[in-house]
Amino acid sequence: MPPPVTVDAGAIVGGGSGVTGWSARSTFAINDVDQYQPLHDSNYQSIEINAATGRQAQSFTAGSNYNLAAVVVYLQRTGTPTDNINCEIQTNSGSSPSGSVVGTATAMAGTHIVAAIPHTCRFVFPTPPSLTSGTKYWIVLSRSGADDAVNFIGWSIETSASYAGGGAATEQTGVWSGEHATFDYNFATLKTTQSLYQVTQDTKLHVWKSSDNGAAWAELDSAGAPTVNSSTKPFDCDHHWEYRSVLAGGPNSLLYCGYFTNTNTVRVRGFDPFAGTWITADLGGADWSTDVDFNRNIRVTATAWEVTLHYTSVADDADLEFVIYDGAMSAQQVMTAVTSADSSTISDAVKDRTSTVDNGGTRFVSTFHHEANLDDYFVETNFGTTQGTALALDTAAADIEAEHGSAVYQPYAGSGGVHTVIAAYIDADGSIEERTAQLEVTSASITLGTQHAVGTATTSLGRSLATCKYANDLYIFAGLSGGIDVYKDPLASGTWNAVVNWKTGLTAAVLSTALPVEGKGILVSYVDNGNVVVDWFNPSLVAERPPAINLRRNTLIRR
Amino acid sequence: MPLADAWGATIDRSVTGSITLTIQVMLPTDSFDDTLIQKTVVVTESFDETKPVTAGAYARYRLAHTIIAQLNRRHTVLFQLWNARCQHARFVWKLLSYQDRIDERIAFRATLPANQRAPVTAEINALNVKRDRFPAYRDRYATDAGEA
Repeated sequence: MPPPVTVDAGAIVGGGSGVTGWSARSTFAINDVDQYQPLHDSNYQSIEINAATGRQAQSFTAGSNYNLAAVVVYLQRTGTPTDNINCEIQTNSGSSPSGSVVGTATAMAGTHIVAAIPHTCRFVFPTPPSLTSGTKYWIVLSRSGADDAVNFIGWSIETSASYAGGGAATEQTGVWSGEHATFDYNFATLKTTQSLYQVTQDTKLHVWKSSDNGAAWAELDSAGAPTVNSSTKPFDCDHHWEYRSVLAGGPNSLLYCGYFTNTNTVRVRGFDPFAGTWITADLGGADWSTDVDFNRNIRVTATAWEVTLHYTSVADDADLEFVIYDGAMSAQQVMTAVTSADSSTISDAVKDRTSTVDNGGTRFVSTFHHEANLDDYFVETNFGTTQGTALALDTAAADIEAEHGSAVYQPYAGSGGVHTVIAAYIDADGSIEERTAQLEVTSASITLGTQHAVGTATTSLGRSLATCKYANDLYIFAGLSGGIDVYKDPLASGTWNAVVNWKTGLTAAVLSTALPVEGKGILVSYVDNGNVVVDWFNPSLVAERPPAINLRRNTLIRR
Repeated sequence: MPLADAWGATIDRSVTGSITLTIQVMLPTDSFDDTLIQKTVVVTESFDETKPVTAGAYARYRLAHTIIAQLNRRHTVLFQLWNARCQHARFVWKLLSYQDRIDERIAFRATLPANQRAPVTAEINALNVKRDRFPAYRDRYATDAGEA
């Protein structure tokens, strides 16, 4: 394992503790993009994809040898097509698709694609085709059903010859038009390889990228970085592949970053990891809320349908609120309205598998929070602005506002593939407890696992937690003032191993994110002495660590 | 304000411990649509008979919140009106609710021995600080809400 790496000296990903404690979701693994044609005409001109004799295609030239994980395109629905949209990769013949298929993506239900407004849609290849550098391929979209000029899907197109590596083609009565000289469909091709992204904050937000597993980091678009109101106030980020076309540009896989622009004002700015640039305007072009308590967590979650900001109200910090943006801004939605001398805290808000276009629009954001009046630890979903009924994970959680903990939960595929989180929280006695929560449903229907005590230490009171699953084992990372502890539940058996004091000797430490990266380990981001640091946690450290041996005592016994 | 002034909503108190408000308002057909149609919004909340003013204010606030959840800034006129009504009703209720809590805690403190009163006094002080914020928030939205 390489040593810890300082990503950004003089920056943070979390701050304070207790009443003024917060931590950001700040570390991400995002598939690398190869070819990218991000534009489409301003009027969202789109071409109808119709029956087998009316397929649409876009050619591209692979920029390197790689396996294709997914294709992202802009689609919009007209009418109610009840069949599927298929996506395949074909080789080139002349200047048209050859008919030779090298990869087939999972089909997308036509009814799941958004009507009237172009929406980015991601077609995933279960068996990633291997592409060769310098070779031309075609993305071919077709519908599975019969020709239907009333109910169909359109693919957004750009007419300004923006992409040099290929062009659009249309099939009519079985004959391809050939590659168009100036027309290009909107698309991006994603590799199976991933780069790591770290968001940090000083007087600005910064996005850093590593393409060598975290050994070296380089900032992207520092000139476009948005200025924050205060270097110590919270920020938070989320990444999503798909979104409706509320921004100029194309397949806007975006990092959405919530940040303070004034004392109690938060806005959200997008960062395009494909292009490596900040979007120049805030999402919605307006304040999302002017009622945000800067002492507590904020959370940004992005689905294919909207972006949500959760926060503690400054008017009454016992209340928790959220605002959504789905092309227009909602009003402040009060999630928790209670009467208490204490404040409530959003520990984390997470999206799940239902966040994608292919889920057809029924999506849930699950918000885990300490409620000030009852001292319960709750989960409550919102589906757009429709709120679920809060479900208590613990009716006797941390009972003083200074004890509430921030958290970053990483969803994982649990039983039946259902997205699940390890909801670790601070208990009334100050120790860490956890329950798993199976998401993808409204909060009243969430299935909770058995409540487990994780450890007896109270050293993480009011500090941040981060949880994830890696290689069938569950992990809880617990922030301390001078380090990071790690707990492991092997094979998710419900029994947590003794604590491992993974990081010691840190200064003013704040834990941010524990990101599981398959085949590589768990990348943990944190603040140490005013610097943002990342380090790989070796999962074998817990399992393989022998029982502690007191050499002095053994020596004495031998005497 | 009297609960009867719930923007013309019908108020049903026929079930003890419960209150139901029903109102007809213009709302979009769905969240992505600008088209407005008349819809019926019904809100049922529990009702504390010992604190009818506060309970009524809460029900009124929840009615406005249910309506504003279906609007966004694209529906400019209705959004501004109901957003102001919602915020105003929220802080009307907050003021009453915190005063109730303060009164409860003062009564509770009186039952305690003198050497056990300090934490409750601290809590009351914190509640007082919060309560004193709410008139300003309430008044900020009063004109737009038509409550000035």
